[in-house]
Amino acid sequence: VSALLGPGLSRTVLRLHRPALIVWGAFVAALIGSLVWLNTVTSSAGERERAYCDHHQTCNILNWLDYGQRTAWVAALVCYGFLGVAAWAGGALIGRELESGTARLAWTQGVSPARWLTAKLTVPALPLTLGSTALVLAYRRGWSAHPGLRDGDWTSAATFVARGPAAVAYVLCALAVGTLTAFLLRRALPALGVSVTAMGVLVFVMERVRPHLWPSVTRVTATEGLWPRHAWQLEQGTIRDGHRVAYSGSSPCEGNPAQVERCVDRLGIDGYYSVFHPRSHYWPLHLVETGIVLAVAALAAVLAFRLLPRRATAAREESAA
Amino acid sequence: MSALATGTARALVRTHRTALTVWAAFIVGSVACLVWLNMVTADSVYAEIAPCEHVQGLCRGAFASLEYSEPLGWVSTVVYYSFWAVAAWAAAALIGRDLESGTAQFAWTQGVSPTRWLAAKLALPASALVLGGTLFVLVFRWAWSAHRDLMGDDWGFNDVFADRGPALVAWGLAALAIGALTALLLRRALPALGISVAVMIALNQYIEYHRDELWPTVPRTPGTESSGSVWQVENGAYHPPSHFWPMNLVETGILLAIAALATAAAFLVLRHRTATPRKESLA
Repeated sequence: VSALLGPGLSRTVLRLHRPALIVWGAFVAALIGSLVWLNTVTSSAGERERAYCDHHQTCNILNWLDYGQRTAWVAALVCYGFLGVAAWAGGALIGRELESGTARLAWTQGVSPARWLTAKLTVPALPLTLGSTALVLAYRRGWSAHPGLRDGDWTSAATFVARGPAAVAYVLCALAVGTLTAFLLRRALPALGVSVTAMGVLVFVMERVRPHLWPSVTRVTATEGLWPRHAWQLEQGTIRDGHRVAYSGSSPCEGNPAQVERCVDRLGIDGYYSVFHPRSHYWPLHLVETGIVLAVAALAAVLAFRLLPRRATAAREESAA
Repeated sequence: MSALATGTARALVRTHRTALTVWAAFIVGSVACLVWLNMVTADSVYAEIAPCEHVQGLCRGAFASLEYSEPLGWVSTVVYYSFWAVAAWAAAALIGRDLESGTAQFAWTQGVSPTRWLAAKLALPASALVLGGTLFVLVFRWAWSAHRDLMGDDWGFNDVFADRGPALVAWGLAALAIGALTALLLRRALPALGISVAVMIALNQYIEYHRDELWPTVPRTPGTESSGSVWQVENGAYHPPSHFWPMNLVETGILLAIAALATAAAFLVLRHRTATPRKESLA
């Protein structure tokens, strides 16, 4: 970075945003620290409780529950931390400088607008990528260490993101989207609000389309079968006269075998189907989402650069006049 | 004096017109959502569920109540946590920006004393928060109790607990006061925004964690089956639904005390800050 931009410019960006860098470092360190604590102290207490519960009628599960809940909290922070990045990028990194005119001043001092924006994006991108990669690695390690104590499966929204590169992609996307909104609005506080909202909408939409990012598996069985373990169930139902009828709630026929048989005959059930993602679909699903989020990030960055020259010309004309 | 006061108020309304509009739209939208859910959605859900009484087993309508309960839960959650946005706005847009840019210092030289400036700055949003919050609480109390059979929640849920009483308004007022105080301490918009939101989240987490201790519990009585709507605490002790009002009012009192302390501290900080320049201008 510094070879490309010259040491002066990246150093300036770093010095200006030192508090933000410290906050980010503290955030990453605190989360990794709490993951280590959870997976040493809390988990061993939880595992002891679990072992005790296997052989006793009544048992205490406070640490067990604590482990699950706190791990879910850490997942939420690893996953949704990008909302803070969007706020910072829209408000403090770009919006404030455009509002106060500092950016324009820099452009007249021998720093070309393109180099200015490149420095503004690459200098934060480096610690953001490093920090969120460290968070993902730490979370993955913790998540797989104590499967018996976990609260929620690989399909829960925050855990799904926190276990792979999508978490990094969201952070970079927040940086780019914050920059773009700051260029569109040129005011710090409105840019802050709009970029957080935009990123919130993005993650809301991605969570809704997530199961459709990779073709699901449909299994048809003659009798009502058990689900594959750890599958992401999307739909299940009966096949009647060649048509699929989705369950709404539980299985239509329950009771002893004779009762079930009578019920199956009465309803004309030929078989059962279920639509799901097996656990092996995690990576394809996750990587498609990562790709989409990175594409949004690239688009936002390109648009921000395209908005730049016009302002630079305007700035130059102003200073010429 | 009163002409000056109305002038200050009018200038304030004009500066924060966008925020007032957003707040009004937010409250009206949430209330409209609640009314729609209870007047329109509930009926269609009942129509979907009705045939299930005669169907043994398979019934498409069994999950129809989600069409009602899910959006209602979302409205309840979003309005409850709107105090985060109040804290952010109060710290950054209401006070922080004016101190950072010097607009506030300029106003103080134009016949508006710092104390009156801050009083006006706080009174206007406070009345908007009280009005909007009260309207929402009244409508939510009706909406939440109208179709209990379609809902899966309970009065002890974090958002429901606050939304059904004055605690909701108190959260907004505490966020306003904390936001103003942080902005006066830091005198910069964006850092004040970050810190005031963080303080409010921490305060909220702390109070939610200790909510069941706001009023003495009823001990377990052996042999009696507790009804579904009690709030279970450790060792079988519980809060009956009748504890809702005392608990909500204690929380309201705590939050209003915090808001009052933060407001008093904000005025003290302002007086301390503005004392020196005035002496200078006298000299």
